[in-house]
Amino acid sequence: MSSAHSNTLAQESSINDNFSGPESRFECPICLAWLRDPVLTSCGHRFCRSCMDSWLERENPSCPIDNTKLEKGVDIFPDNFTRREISQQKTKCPNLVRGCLEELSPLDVETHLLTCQYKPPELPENEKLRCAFVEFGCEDKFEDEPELQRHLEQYIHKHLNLLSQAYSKFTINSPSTSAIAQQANFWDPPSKNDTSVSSNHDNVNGLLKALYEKAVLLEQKTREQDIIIANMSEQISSLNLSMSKMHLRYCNGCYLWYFNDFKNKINAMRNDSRIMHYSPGFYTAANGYRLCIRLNLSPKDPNYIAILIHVMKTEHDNALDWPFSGRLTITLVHPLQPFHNIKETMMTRPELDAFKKPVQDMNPKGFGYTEFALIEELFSQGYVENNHLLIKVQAQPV
Amino acid sequence: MANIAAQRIRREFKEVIKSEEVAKCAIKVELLNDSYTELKGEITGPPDTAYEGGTFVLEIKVPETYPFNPPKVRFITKIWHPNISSVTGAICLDILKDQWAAAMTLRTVLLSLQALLSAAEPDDPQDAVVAKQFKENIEMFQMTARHWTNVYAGGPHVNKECDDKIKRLVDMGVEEHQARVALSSYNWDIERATEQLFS
Repeated sequence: MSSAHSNTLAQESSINDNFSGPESRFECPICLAWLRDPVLTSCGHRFCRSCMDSWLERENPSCPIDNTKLEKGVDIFPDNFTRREISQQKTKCPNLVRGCLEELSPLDVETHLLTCQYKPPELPENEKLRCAFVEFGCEDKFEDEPELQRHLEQYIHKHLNLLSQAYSKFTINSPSTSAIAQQANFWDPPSKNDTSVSSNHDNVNGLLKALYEKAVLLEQKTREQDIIIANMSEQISSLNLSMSKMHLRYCNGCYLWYFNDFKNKINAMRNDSRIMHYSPGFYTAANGYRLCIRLNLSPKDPNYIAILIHVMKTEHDNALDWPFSGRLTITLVHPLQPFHNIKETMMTRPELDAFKKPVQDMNPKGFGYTEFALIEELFSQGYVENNHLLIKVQAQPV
Repeated sequence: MANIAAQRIRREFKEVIKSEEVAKCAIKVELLNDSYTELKGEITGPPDTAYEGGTFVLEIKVPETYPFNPPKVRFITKIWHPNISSVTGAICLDILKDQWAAAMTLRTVLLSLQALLSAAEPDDPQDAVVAKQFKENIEMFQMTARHWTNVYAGGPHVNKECDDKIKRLVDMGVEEHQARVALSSYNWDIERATEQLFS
């Protein structure tokens, strides 16, 4: 394929040489073309008649070759010998490469070319072949492939220059074409003047753009889902919290307090008598009084534990009767033998501060037994199981 | 443009491109427009002259009556030569005037100009100041021409003495080329050049 191609090129250029440069004896030194209606000067030089006529219109004309004075009508003769020789010359049409087999007199070539059916089509400007270096600034256009090939061979130097210029621009511009700038480009509307040359490039760009848009949408969706999940887990944890408080509200005044880590807490309280432990607040009814249990060492005798009940504030205190009055039962549950349970019941006393409507979160004063049980006995008689103590409080408003 | 002029330039153009001189980089022609009326020529300074190593750019305008009338040629590159104006680049060469012949071509014109650089005609000057220096002090002329070739045509011979003198005038506020012209015209006598510049 390539050898056939170079062959056509060689033919083309040899025809071209024939065409552009007639043998010097057949060439007019003025128009540099084949002698047309040749004349001979007295000094022995040949010219086209029309070229010589134009030249002789100058003042004091002389021969364009050797400066000999020439006089019109005296020193100029028709050269019929040369005219006959030229008319016997046959040359091939320059469109041979495109299939024209016409053999012509060199003088007729130009007239023939105007009507030659093999002449390269006069393509409209936008259908002409562009130089392969058009992107680097070579604006030349061609009628057909051989012309383009010839151009590429002739202008190697020019194209190299264009390439090196483009390269220097490229290196200067490259820092600005950062990934972010390219991403931004993907949001631009597609260019309207789609040319067939760059369609392949556009396809890739289009694909990239579509993928990029999809990625952005997915990213956005992921972000939204993250927010929804965060909200839901917040809701769940707040629900869990209120669920965990549910048994406090709906225990009907009967609350079991698992007092764990008993030994350590007792030791800590022995070291610091100010330490007191409170149970969570529980309700006597869904909208009833709220109470909590306090456990600490008896201030009078640190060998005893004190168990007291405190009244706590609720959001519906104004709907309740004050002072709180009712029966309170405190039971220290023996884990194995129910008949060992220590059970104490007491009635509220309305005159005590402990039962008044609480002003703070919890009434500072409590009501109960400061010496409820001897710590020693709790251990020895098996109330403490797995290091925890179970205290049950029943509160019944009356 | 008349058909014959364009056609001839087209043919000549091929001739120049193929010629031996282009192969040796001695001359060069480039088209400046599609109608073959304006061209850019380039000749190198001939060896063993003050212009050696320089590249001189020429403006070539082809008249409609070409080749019956000569092309209009002038130097774009500034040059110090008796037959070429140091100001306008206009050339005094007979073949570009009355001695033109229709058989001459761009190639022969460029080669003639190259020949003019190696053989000045001080008796038929275009630039009287340069011609006077050429006749009276040929060494001074050679040095100046070499310096101009270095500065404007990319020639290899740097003349530090000239550059220093020009710098002194430039430091005084004179434009560089003006300073070079003044110094060149007064045989690099800085006092006389200063006097001329500031009078």
